[in-house]
Amino acid sequence: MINSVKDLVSFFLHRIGEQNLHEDIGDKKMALRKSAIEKILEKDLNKDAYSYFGNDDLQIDLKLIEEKEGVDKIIKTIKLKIPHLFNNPGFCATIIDGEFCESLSCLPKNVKIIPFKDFGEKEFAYSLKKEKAWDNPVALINIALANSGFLLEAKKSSSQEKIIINHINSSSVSTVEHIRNIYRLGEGAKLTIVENFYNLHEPQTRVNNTVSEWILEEGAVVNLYSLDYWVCKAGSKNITNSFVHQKKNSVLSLFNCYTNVNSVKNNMHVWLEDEYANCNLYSISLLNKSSCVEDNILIEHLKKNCQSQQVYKSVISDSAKGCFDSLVLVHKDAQKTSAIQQNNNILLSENAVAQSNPQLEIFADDVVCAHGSTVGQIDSEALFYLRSRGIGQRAAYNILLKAFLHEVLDKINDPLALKITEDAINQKLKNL
Amino acid sequence: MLKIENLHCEIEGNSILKGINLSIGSGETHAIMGPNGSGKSTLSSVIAGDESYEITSGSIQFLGKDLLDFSAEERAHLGVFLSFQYPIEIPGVSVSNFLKTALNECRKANDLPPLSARDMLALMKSNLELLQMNSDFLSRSMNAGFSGGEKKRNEIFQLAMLEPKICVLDETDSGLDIDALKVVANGVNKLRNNSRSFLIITHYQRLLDHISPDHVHVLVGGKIIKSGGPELALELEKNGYDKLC
Ligand SMILES: Nc1ncnc2c1ncn2[C@@H]1O[C@H](COP(=O)(O)OP(=O)(O)OP(=O)(O)O)[C@@H](O)[C@H]1O
Ligand SMILES: [Mg+2]
Repeated sequence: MINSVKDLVSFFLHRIGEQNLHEDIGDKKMALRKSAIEKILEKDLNKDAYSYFGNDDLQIDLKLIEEKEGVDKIIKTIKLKIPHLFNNPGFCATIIDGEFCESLSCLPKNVKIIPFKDFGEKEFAYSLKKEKAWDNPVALINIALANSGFLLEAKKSSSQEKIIINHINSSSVSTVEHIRNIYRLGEGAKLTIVENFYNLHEPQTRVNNTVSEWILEEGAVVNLYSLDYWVCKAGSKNITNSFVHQKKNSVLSLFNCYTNVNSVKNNMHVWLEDEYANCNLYSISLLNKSSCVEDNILIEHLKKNCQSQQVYKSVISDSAKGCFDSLVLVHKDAQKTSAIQQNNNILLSENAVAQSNPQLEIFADDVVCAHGSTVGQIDSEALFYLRSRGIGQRAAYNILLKAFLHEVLDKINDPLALKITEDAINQKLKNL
Repeated sequence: MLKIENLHCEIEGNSILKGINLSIGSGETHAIMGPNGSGKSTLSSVIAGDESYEITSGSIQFLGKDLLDFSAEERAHLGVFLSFQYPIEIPGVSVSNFLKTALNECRKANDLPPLSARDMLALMKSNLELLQMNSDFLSRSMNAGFSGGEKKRNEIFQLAMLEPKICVLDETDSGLDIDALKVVANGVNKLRNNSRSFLIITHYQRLLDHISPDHVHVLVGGKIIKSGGPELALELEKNGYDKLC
């Protein structure tokens, strides 16, 4: 069990093969892992770090983590259990337990995926804004223990390419994954990514600690539809730290849709580093039981004429909790900034909680910023309207909730992503 | 068909309807006129089953049933329809999907099988024609961004689709331009028959020029203070409510 930093260190040692932490380590990557551990120890970040994971989490038997089937066997199971994955004629990438699986992937010419084990020292050490990751306890743990992930590299393309990334969890036991993903979109790269998540076995408890880096060069246009996570057992957690760097004329649109998560924490730090960079963040959460989705967002407008837009919508039931904490920071040079922060919540029960905290800090004088948050219930007049047409209370609720989410659904330009999202929402609404 | 007796209701402790008596026979068309705030929309909402009003006394009989025992959706299934004074916008839900859901729910409650996609479309097309509406309407989001007149037309389109037995029209004429008023009124006239009754709430004679009522009632301060034939509406238009009170 990992209950303390001491356990963490011993886990680390276990990983690297019982080497002494204080011995010199030749391998540069290993040296980085070591310094991350030292940093955690030295700064006594452990309290912080574990507050990210919750209090008594990570109560996962370490022995279980290493037990994985061979890849060949997993591929067979995938083909048997989710055959429709291979019916799609388009481009796809299959990621099994965080590892890129080339034989089940078909990538466009301009896209390359490099598995974590082949990362260079530079990728490993966070290519940019290193200091941010090194201040963040969870990201530090990620450096120390990262065991999977990929680097996706896209070069210039004439039209918007699309790939479906299928994330497959092959484990039949509880897992802790420390995942490092890097998305490097070159000048003029145009890519749409639809991410799906599949379990090969019964849902288990999963703790994911993901660090993602996004680098969008000039004119790169990227859409990512991240549609839910794996269905997980209670106690599962997803913590993602994303660092986004956008150059001139780049456009990033990220969509998240959560319908069956337990606990999600997204920390997002976006730097709009050059003119006309545009960042759009959209999110839908349908939460019940004691699930929780927490978004911490920081968008820095550093140069003029950049745009950012956040539209976060949550429907919260039972004793679930949604939390939106967002800061848009408009620096002195960022004239003609346009920024929108919007967070709308519908509470379906008395114990449901929505915390909404959109903030603006503006140091330029010529900017257009709008922010708004609402927390409310289903409109009773609208409900009466539908019922007066013969639509039962339950169905009327669902129609109104769909209408509430429509503003985000409307932004989904990819038909497949829209279908998956709508199916997931319809399924969830039945149980909310 | 519909019999309201000594109906009292209140909202948040404010008494609004103070003893309404109204009887509408099968196939009849009644009009209610009355000053702003007199309780016309309240009466129509109460008939349709809006739970935000508390019925403190009185009864509503509909086809031999005690309407107050039924929820809003059950009343719709029984054949009660309200054309709203202020229709609600439902972004992301198309008019055709909305109506498909509504009509099939009503059919299901009456032990009828759902309409096939083809029959549904044919029915929608013929009703669109009745109201001289463009078929683009079907794919638009329910009332979202509709003009005032378009919303009212859409209400009557729903009425035509659901084929209710008692139709309460709350200020359907407001928002309609002169031509649209004629079209909608003609549509309503075509929908009139011996087994369908109408209760038309309006402020103006112009609607009643097209849809001539059998009876006209004046509602003031939560009570019907006068009833008469079509001539009562003309009298009101000339003299206002003051003379009556
Ligand atoms: N939710 C409410 N809370 C308090 N008072 C209400 C509420 N709803 C209606 N009322 C009051 O009830 C009275 C009757 O309202 P109603 O809407 O029925 O009038 P109306 O006759 O339809 O008027 P109009 O001609 O303007 O449409 C008004 O005084 C109104 O302010
Ligand atoms: Mg009214």
